[in-house]
Amino acid sequence: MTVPQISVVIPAHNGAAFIADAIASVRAQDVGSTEIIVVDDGSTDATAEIVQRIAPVVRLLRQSNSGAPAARNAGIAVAQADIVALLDCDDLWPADKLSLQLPWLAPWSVFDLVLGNTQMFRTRADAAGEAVDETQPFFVTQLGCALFRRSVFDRVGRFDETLRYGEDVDFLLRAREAGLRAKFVDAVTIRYRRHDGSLTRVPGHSSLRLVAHLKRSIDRRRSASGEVAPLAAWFAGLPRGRESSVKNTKMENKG
Amino acid sequence: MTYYRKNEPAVASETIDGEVVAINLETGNYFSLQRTAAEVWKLIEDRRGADELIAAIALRYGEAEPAARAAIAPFIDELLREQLIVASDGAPSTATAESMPPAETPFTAPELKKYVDMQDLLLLDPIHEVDETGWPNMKQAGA
Repeated sequence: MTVPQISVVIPAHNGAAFIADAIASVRAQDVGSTEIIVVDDGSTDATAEIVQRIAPVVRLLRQSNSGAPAARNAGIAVAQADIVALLDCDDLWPADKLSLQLPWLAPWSVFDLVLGNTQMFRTRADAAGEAVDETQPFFVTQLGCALFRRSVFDRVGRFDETLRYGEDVDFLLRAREAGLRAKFVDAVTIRYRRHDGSLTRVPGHSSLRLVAHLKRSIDRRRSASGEVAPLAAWFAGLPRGRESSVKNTKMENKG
Repeated sequence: MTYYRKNEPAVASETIDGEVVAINLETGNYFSLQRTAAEVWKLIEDRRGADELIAAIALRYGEAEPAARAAIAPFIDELLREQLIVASDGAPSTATAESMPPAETPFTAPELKKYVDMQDLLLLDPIHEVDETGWPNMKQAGA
């Protein structure tokens, strides 16, 4: 088998209800050859059986329950491709994710990672069977919206396995401290499922969690003399005026 | 006496290892407050009035009150300018004022360190407005 272009690492803890859909959304991409690595993080449901049924297109790693950061690290460690994506097992890729993002990581591109927008969705039963509610696309600091060069993980290191929450914010701050360059694509690059098991699972961070990660970042950037090195600007491609429109987005449940 | 309060919910802050990190989510700026600055912040959070907190800091450092005021008043103005705190007409805290132990280091003027390098991310990321009942810009499929 030739070396794939993209390794997709999917950490899964009790993801039986959704993992087949997540894998299908990767396989439905119309560009790029992908290697799918599912890291079963100590599931007690049928996650592994479902994945094995889809084999041989999926590589299955199994570990005792160690958390998503450890599962991602394990998957990245065996990834063969030069480009790595991280997908949570209950989320979905839009069909054009790779065609939107992959060109920005061409060998001659200056960018190290590509980010994009998130669209939250949920499914619910209605008279016609099933209805899907979805949000307008918005940007949030999380991993699923991104595509990384594999070298990013050599330069930034692994996900901090001691963090219970916000390891994505921590990693992206460290990536920025390392001077990596990010391209922002103003399109939906991850569909983020909201479901009963995720009611309190808010993508990205709460503001207080962000404060703690910023404190760690400040400490890393502080020299012996007490000066704090600034973060380099790392976004390219942000449309002007976007800030105000996004900032004014009020969260309203009309569903 | 003038009272202040943290400008919530626009401002999120936490004291970690004696350093206050505060984020103004409206402007995308974040700030570091150490030593006397962190102490003044704590007194403001405890709803101490301006005169009261200046007196407490002066006492802690054995500093003459006018000198402490000359250093702290501009700092409070800066906190107001950056919208980290707002003047408060509410009643002061009913908590008993704990007297601060004498400092082992000399008094230094409080400093507000301002960082603007996260504006791009902080202004883009509206997630702090999400709560468990809310969705950003919900639209119904097929509606």
